[in-house]
Amino acid sequence: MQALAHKGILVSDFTMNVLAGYLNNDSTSPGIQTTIAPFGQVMQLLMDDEQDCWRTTPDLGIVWTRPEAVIEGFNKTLQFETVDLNHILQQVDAYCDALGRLQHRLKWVFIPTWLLPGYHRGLGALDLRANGGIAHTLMHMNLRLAENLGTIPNYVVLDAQKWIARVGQRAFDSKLWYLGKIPFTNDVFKEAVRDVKAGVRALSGKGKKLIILDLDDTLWSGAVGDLGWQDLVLGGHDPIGEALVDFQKELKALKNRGILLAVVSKNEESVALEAIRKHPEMVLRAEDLAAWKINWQDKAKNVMELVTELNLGLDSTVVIDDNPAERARVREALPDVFVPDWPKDKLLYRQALLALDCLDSGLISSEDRLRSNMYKVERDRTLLRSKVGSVEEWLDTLNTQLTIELLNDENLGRVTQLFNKTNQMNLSTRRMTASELVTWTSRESCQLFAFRVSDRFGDSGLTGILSTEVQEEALQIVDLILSCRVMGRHIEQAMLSLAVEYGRMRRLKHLSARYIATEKNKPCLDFLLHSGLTRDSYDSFHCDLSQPYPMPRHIRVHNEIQWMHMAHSRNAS
Amino acid sequence: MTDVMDKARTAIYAALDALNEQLPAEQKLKKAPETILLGKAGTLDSVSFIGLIVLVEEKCQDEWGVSVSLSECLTDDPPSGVDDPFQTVGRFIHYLSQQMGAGTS
Repeated sequence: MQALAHKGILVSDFTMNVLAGYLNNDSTSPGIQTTIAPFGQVMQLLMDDEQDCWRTTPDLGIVWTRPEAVIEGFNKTLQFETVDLNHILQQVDAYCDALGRLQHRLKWVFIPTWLLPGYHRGLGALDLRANGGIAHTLMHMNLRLAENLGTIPNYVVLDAQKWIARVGQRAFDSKLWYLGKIPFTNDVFKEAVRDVKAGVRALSGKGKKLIILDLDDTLWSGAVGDLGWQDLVLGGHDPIGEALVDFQKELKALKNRGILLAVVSKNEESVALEAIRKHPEMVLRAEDLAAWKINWQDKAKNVMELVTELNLGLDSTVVIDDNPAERARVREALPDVFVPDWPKDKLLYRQALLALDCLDSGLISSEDRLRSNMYKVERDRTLLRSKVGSVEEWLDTLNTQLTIELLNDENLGRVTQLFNKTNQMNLSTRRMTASELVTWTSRESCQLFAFRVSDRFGDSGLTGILSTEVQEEALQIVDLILSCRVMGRHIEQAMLSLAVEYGRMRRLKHLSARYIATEKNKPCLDFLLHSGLTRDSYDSFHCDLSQPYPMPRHIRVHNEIQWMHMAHSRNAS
Repeated sequence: MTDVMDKARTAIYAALDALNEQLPAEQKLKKAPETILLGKAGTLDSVSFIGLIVLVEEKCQDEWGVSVSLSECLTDDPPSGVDDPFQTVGRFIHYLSQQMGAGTS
């Protein structure tokens, strides 16, 4: 189902009608409706904010140029004139400066790398040498483009060479160029659409977070219940065994960048777990899995229960299964779950996994890298919980600590990620880019606090955000965001207590919060209803700041005095 | 002749399928002889038309090894009105089959 449309603008020195057609009519999410900026006026459009095309108020832009059209030095290199590479790179820097003017106008800017037709041999075998090699020059130009623009948070440089590689020999067509100033064939534009949409999903926090895997003939070849783990085909001097080990290695690599792995399989749990633990060629072990459901129940039911246990959404989930019937069952029962078609040939599993574009990420933070381990740690916490009498007693044993930070360069990426990925404990579900956050917090009346949570089991990382705005004599809580992995430990009460303390320090009279309902943030409303705040209307809550709000007894705030002074002096300056 | 007409129809219909991926639902072109391509009632813009004929040329070459040069019509004085071979899908099929009959493998 296609989500609400983004408005895009296409800026280029070649005909973009084909790209516009594919973007506007592609049914995959998100929907993007584009307008095409006037042909061949790239620099004019970048430098002039008053151009008519900006009045359409797009929220994303694609700036796709030919290198010889925007970098004069490269054009000369194509003529085999001698041009110093540094001079060319200075021109690239100037072009990047012009591109940088869009960062406050657009939410996201996509810039495909520069390309040269594959039929252009340049200097042939010497083309990668310095001193005039065309491929050598272009490689340096693209690297400079990526380095310059990679520092701007809402810019994405897309590797267009991958599109050419996927399309092959038919990527360029001279006929299309001379007839219509179209440099590429349709398939190249289709690949561009795929990557732009994957990029928008990733930057919006809509990339998939969880892969649920089958076992038999998916992670290994053979049925473990029939063969026993010793006779499964996995690893060894066997093409299929080797291919499956490589498949597992890529899954583990995904885990390393924050994608959770889980197993749903129709098997005897003890038999399957024995294989996972004992098979010498298994790359994925139990500790790599966030959860598993191994039983004889309906696959879709198991998927649903597992996703719920992990506090994730079905739309964050991918299911990989070799069995077409099981795939069809999950698709039919759980349409929000993505179930890719899967190759019959196990030799193609790794390739199929690497080609998935639903796992793209806008950012990889240290919290992402530790995410899977955090689920293991959560299992340990839950085990402890089962051993103590009451929730309060359990919370007392955790030794929970909060460390507070103001928004800074180091945490900006993670804060942005939380804004865009958190759904359940999210007061207003504002979706903000890094630039927008920096701009908002620069206002004198606004403040943003980020919370790191740790306990005796480990560090959950930066998992909470509180943002406030002073409005006359009231402190308005604008955002209250908490990662689902630390819910249920009264962290949100602690954040509310600190908000009250901050308001009292600023000698304000009231604290207010406005809840903006979404499909997924009812847990936040439930918290507000039980928080002790007075409800003024369905979505408005307030309290008097004449009294402090109790801090949960089991939570220790690490640097309370320090952050208060920092926040107060920042606002006072 | 029938065989050539069938090939011409296959090539054009395949190109229309590819072109329709770029068009909204209400503008998708019907694969039927009476569908108007160009002229006053036509819905194809110049870029879409260029894409269409280049795709048809490719299809003829790839599938049957027949080289046709439809794009030359765009550079020479283009026919118009009742002589326009691209006015409708049906005319296009007829024109293409003639070109394919005269084309080389």
